[in-house]
Amino acid sequence: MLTDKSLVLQLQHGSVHALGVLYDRHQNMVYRTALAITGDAEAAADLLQDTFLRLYRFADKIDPDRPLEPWLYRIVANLSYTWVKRHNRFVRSIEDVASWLGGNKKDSPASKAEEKETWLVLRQAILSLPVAQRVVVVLYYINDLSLQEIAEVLNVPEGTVKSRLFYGRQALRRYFELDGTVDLREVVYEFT
Amino acid sequence: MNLPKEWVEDVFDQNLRRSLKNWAARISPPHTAKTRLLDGATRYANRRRQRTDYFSSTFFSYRYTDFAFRQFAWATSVVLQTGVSIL
Repeated sequence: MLTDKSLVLQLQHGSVHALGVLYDRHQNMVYRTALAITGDAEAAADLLQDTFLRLYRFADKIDPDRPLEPWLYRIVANLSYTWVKRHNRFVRSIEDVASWLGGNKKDSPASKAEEKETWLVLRQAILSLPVAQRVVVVLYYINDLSLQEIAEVLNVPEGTVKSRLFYGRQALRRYFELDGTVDLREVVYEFT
Repeated sequence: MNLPKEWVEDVFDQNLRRSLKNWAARISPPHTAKTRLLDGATRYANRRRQRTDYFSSTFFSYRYTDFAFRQFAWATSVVLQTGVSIL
């Protein structure tokens, strides 16, 4: 199997095939990170495209001797962060109006049942965090990056990462305590 | 609130990680995403090649002596033609 290093070297000579192989290898990680941060499947698919197109365009700026994953994390985290900031500014007010006009959907029995689905509650919990905390929580819990690795990816001091993670975790604890549908202190989930 | 000096995980962290990983494992990118990406990359490569071809087929295709000679010939002909027209 070709290493990321040899594929990046091929990419630097314009190989679209090498891009395809790298995409197959890292697509899930990039897509899941984007989706966890944005909470929007369509946006996550666009950010996936954008991340790999940037990889192709800027391949000559990548050091093949260094691991590729931190570079991909940096790009997808930054793109997702920007998307959330823009989306919040333009769409949040429209969503608020729609929610007000249509009544609070959370009160309907159907949506109550839907929200009991653990993954939906988790998604909502993650999306309730400020975006800076959300990015750190996603990289730490889903992608298993250490505090130091997250600091390098986001180009911020390790103390900042620790602080964002600490307050993000506090907020999630509060969310689950108030929500009451999922108790992450005790429940052990079955995994598929 | 002071941050703890050591980052210590408890049951909440473990369950949160497992639940989030379980959630993430269920999702995968759209099937058409790879084709779309490779089409986009091919288009980009073609555009870049066309730009390079244009430059290499004009200015950069001349050797510098050819370019200097062409400029000299052009300037000389303009001056001579002007002189002849005045006479």
